Amino acid sequence: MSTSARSSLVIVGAGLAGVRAAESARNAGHDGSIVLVGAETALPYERPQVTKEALLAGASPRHYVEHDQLVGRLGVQLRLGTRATGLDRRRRLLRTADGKIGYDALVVATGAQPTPCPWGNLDGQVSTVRTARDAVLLHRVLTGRRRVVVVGAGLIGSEIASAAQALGAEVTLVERGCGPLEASHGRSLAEHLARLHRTAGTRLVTGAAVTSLVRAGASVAVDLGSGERIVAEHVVWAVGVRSDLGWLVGSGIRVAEGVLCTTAMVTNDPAVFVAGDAAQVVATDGPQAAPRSMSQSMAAAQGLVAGHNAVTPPGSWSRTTATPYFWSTWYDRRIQGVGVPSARSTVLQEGGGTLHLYEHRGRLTGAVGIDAKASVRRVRELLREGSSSGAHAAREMTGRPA
Amino acid sequence: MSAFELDSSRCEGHGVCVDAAPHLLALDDEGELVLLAETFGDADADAAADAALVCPVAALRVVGPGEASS
Ligand SMILES: Cc1cc2nc3c(=O)[nH]c(=O)nc-3n(C[C@H](O)[C@H](O)[C@H](O)COP(=O)(O)OP(=O)(O)OC[C@H]3O[C@@H](n4cnc5c(N)ncnc54)[C@H](O)[C@@H]3O)c2cc1C
Ligand code: SF4
Repeated sequence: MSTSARSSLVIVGAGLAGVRAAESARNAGHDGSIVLVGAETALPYERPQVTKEALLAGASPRHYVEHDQLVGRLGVQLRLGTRATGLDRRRRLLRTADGKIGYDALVVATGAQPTPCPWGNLDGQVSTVRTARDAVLLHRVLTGRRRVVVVGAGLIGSEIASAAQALGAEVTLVERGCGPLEASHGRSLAEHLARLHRTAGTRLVTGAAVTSLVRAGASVAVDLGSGERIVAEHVVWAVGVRSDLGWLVGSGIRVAEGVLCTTAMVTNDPAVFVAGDAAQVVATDGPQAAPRSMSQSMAAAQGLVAGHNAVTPPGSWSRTTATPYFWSTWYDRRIQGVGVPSARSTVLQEGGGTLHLYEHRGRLTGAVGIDAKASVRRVRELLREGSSSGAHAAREMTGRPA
Repeated sequence: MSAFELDSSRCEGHGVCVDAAPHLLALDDEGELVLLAETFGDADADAAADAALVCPVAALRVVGPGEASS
């Protein structure tokens, strides 16, 4: 496989998607250079641990690949601690804070960043969480503080609440909906997940919007729309993420919430690809694109496709077909979501666990399991086989130990 | 011949890799990953490489012939 036409591959963003793109380009036979540009100074690390083991331990998460492998085996030139600031597509130059880098093919893998708190960080008393550094800092804060408010009960906010509890803090979790994941997965799952928090002793305030955050001496006062005021020593703002793509403004690359691409992970410029949380797939080239699923497995699967396609001719491009999948762990309970949710769901109790099965027009579309590993595995198989009705899946699950 | 190398301290039984190479990998009833074949040939190399790269926690790796495991 000749790759001389694409001899210089530049990957922007050294997270999972970026690493996978580099490995995949080598697997595809790319023997030219690979430059990995990343704003963080650390080698790519296990981001999910930022709100799990790393937050509990106050230590940095493990790396995906060690320096020797990345530089030695994969021949990657690392430019860590370097932020991309602009793109000149005509001259095929990436602008960074420390100079320009030429490319033949470029992969954008800059991920997403927490939505900032509209009231600022109040001199460090309000924080957001995304990086290894955030985990180490938050660990210190949580260990010393009695009262903590976490705003947003999504997967990340829920994990932070769980870790804060484990570290001995008194936690109030503030959520707009009736429970975690209501907007994406519906009421019955949200209510179930709300019970997990409450059973564990976390105070969950639902249907609540924060109307102001102000300093109150050494504390922060959190005002809710209901008129309630909660006073705490620290606030974690975890209402969601968005991709900071300001560096692409003016480049001509089409951007909406993410960088727009096809299922081949190519943008409107055939030399520019995208993968992971920064990507927004639009289905212009296939039957159906998966919804924007910001997860480890999407980052890996899209990195694989983007890295391959960036160094091969369009005739041999691959496309993402991965089934969306996420997991999360709170209070030692494993939550796993596979496939896509839909409006109709059936709830099955199995052993110590629960499975929420989703179907659309009689067809199984996905499921969320809570301590239901075996059933989630079975749903994954049924989705792979692609022929299962929701009712059939439900019959098959019943009686299986979760 | 190439082989899978599984870092069992990282593997959490997500089974994402199984979708990419169901003839080489499976999850058992406890949700533990099982390598169905110790080694595999060229015909399976692409599927195996993809399976390793889609693992969301980077627990699976393909080692080529003669590559020492680390
Ligand atoms: C705390 C936390 C816990 C999570 N837990 C889970 C989980 O349990 N399961 C799950 O499936 N998913 C989880 N996720 C989601 C998952 O981690 C993400 O979907 C995944 O990290 C996306 O990978 P990525 O490579 O696209 O982006 P990232 O991991 O965000 O990596 C992007 C990198 O690009 C860098 N960058 C950004 N802008 C620039 C620039 N201009 N120039 C250079 N570099 C730049 C960033 O600093 C970052 O290092 C979690 C996410 C977080 C934040
Ligand atoms: S190797 Fe990775 S994808 Fe496969 S079962 Fe283990 S954790 Fe899951």
